[in-house]
Amino acid sequence: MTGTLNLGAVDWFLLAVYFGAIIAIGITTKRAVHTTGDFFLAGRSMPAWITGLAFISANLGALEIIGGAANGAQYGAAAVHFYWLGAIPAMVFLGVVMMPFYYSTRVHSVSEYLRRRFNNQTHLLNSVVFAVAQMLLAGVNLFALALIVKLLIGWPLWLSILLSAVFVLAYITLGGLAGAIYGEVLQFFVILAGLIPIVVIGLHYVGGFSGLREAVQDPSLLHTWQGTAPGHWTNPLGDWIGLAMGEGFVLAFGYWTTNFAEVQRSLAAKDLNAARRTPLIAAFPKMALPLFTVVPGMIALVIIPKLGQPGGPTYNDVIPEMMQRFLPNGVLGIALTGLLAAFMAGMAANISGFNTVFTYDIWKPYVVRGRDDRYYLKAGRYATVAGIAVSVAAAFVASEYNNIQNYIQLLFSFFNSPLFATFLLAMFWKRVTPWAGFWGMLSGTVAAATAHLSAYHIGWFYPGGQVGPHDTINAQMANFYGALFAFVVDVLVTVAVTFVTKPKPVAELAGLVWGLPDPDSPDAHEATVRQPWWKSPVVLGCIILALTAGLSVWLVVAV
Amino acid sequence: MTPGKTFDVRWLIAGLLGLYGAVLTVLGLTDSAAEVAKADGIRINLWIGLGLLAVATAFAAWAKLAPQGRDGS
Repeated sequence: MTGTLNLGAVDWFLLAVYFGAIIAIGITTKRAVHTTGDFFLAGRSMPAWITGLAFISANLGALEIIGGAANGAQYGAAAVHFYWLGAIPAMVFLGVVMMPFYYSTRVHSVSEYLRRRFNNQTHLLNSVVFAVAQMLLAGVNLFALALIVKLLIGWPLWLSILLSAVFVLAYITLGGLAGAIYGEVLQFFVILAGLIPIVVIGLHYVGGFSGLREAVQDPSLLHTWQGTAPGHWTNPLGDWIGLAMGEGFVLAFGYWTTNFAEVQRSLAAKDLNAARRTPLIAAFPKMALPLFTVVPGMIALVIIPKLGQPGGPTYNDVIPEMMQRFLPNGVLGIALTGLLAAFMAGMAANISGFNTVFTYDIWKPYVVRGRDDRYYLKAGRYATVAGIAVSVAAAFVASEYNNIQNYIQLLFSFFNSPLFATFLLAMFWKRVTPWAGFWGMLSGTVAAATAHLSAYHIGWFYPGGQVGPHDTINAQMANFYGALFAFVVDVLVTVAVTFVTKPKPVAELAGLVWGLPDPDSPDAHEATVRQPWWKSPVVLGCIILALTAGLSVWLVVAV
Repeated sequence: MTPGKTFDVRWLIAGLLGLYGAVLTVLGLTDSAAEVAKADGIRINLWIGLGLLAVATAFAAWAKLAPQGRDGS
């Protein structure tokens, strides 16, 4: 970008109104927060459309928006895989199959499921890794925000880090999860209102979709499934094994079904049916998101000279560059507000996930036991403050050391990639023993790290199939295969340990495992209520999958 | 009284988007030729402003016609 944005008084006004509204949410919701259940789970009282929009917004942090546009510019049309293949099937699976195990057992977190299904060791391992990860990832979010603010407005890094930390602190410490969720719902509309003008003007400029297709010079950037033959792939994201199995199955299912920062939004829903529909309602906007991220990325590739090349702007500059180029004052203010809001929503999702797991899964069961509810509500508020303080510190460290944020994300991906294997076995096979859960998870993590380190020496991941001195590895493809490897190792170790250790008595597994329903389930009455088809998770899930498959086929045929 | 019932977020959405829509619509009607040219000839403030007003109206109507607790969603 040449210089910062040319902001007018009206842009600042629109920005100020939004942050005023966010603070108002915190103050209003605080009046209704009396118990830990109110603070951490919003009293399980939200309708499905609210939790659904919060579910999608928690994943629509500015890192995802900036990164989605960068992927569109770097990988072209294949970047839709991160949405249609790498999210939607997993979201449907969460809503249709897995949600009853989380919601009806009344666990407060994904980690607590592991305590009930396995043992304290598995629980503690998962809780500590999750809590630390969320704080550091919040710091990464803060740092990314500060970089963007510096680029767009010209403020120094420290000012934006402190300022946004104070805002997030205000609305989460006051309103808890309800504050975070309402903020996310607002953010959803504002970010869309900011991205739509970029897409509309950009498409108009390049002559619509047909103009865009003709202007893209490298034909492989129009390919989604073309060129994915194993062994001689030409697709920017590698072969179909890595795509479908690694990204579509292991990584996506691991992220969407076991990441508590996401699942927590569903747990705030008012009943089981609303909880199950939460990720399904979120899937509809998710389907449309490539239009607002991948398409601007591809437009930028056509109209910004030297994008992603030495001496030119980086892929991450796509959205800021387009804002500066196309948006007049007014929509410019909304786009800026949307981006800043998205950063804070991403961070708020990390922090509200952190304070819940810290209080319920670390402090209450292992550190200070048996106090009254008010004590833990206070502990939760202090944990929020401490978590934000650590993330601010992490953001400052990240601003001192090059690329440290990449290492943080890489490190936690090692823990995430095998998680889905553990949950899948835990939920569908009652024989899996407590220690099998622990060792499966741990060995899967080691496998993911090993795979990452060795991928650089394997020709399969290089264009042309050989490691040459000047070739660069297809990092995404290596990442997909690494996840797949972690999954397989987790399954093998879990099964092996299961056969040499003692399973839990079946009576303790009611409601936690497929085929062992809990006769005292608090949601049993819902089974007798006949829902209209548009509230049926199975019907909605089928509609979503059919639409996504249709879109994918259309993209291969039409482009 | 649980956090989900204190206030109706639909009114907040209607209010914020309505205000944004009104500001953008007025801007769009008074945009200079240079600003329209920047957006490749599209009166983008006007169109987005009208769109926001429509969404705000829809949320206000929904909140009015199906008050919280009885909306069944």
